Amino acid sequence: MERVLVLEDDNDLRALLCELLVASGAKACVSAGSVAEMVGLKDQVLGCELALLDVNLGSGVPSGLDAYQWLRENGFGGRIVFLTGHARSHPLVRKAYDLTQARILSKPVDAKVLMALVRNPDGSFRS
Amino acid sequence: MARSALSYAQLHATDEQRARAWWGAFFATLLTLLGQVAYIFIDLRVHPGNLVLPTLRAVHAVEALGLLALLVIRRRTASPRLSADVFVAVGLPYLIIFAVAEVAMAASGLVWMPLTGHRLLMVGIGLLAPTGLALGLGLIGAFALESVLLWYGLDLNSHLDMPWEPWITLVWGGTACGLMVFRVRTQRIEQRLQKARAEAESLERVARLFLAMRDAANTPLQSLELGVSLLQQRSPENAALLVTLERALTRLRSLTTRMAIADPLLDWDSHEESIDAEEVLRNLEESLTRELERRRH
Repeated sequence: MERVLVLEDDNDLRALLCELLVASGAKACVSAGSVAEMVGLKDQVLGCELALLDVNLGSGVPSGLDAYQWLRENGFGGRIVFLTGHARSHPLVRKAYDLTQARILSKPVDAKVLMALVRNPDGSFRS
Repeated sequence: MARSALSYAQLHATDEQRARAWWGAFFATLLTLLGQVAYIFIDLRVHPGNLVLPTLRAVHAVEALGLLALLVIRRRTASPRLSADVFVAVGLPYLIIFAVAEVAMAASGLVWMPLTGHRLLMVGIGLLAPTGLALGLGLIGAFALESVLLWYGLDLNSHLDMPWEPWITLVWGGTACGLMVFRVRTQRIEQRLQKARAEAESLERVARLFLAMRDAANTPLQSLELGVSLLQQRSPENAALLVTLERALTRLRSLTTRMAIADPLLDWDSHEESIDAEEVLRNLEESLTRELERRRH
């Protein structure tokens, strides 16, 4: 595993995610707190093989789904995994479920599941 | 929460009952006042020299004026019982006035339609009586009975060629009873719907609160989850302490998972796509503060 992208608006969680993923074998972690920040890191972001996107990045700002669109439009070829603390009935989460090429994990996600994303490229979780 | 939702619904049903009863009593009293004042002048023309009937009507009009003032003063606080009492107090004198009027008309030798007042009043009761079935039906029954007693008591059946009386008046009474029953049933259905709506709204508020709390808790919970996992890797010597933390985390996870039970109750609007848990909690706090203020007054 080369690089992972973490898009999460909560600073503490973003830092911990990066730390865990690097500890699990990722070579580097590119982190952003917003879609705008992610776009600013375009070259590094597009070099990642795994993207962890928080669905809700705050009220009134572009969401993880907007980030997904941007990534796909700019030729991102890696795996995309959404993280969400919302109910499955939430409109944004429903839209995320409609995206067949993305996996959705509900917070709080077991750390072992996140580590497996890095250790097992197919994303399978073996305890 | 469910109990307070029920109280909320009951409170509003009572408010509505109070308002309906007040408006019924208000209109009945106002129409009585206007009608009796008009009939004072009509009776003076129809029965010159007979002051009994105008005097009775004047007394009734004064009573109606006083009751109207009472209703206006107590507009916000009048109980359904007070409004019902006013309705009865303004309605019962008609029994005497109608009897005196029918006797006077029968003695006058003029052509008139007997029992017209009874028919109109019974329909008026059906339309305006506070929606206690017993009160409305009792009043209608009293006027229907009086119309029959007057018809035969004054021997009108032998003076007037009206083979349809008093039966047609009783048909009017039956129609008034039908109106009364229809109003009571309609009001009960409305109250049931209102109660169901209030409960549904209350449950949706609870669901929204659960969701907001879950959303607000999930991110810090995820941070704790990852932090504990990292510590397990880096500080294996604190395994016993970390197991305790893991157990606490499991309980918190279980709590947030159980909160998801209310999710299907939520009706999402398109503008709510970016839900802000802080805003939901703030709105809820404001609503609760307003409700507490309302209950204090």
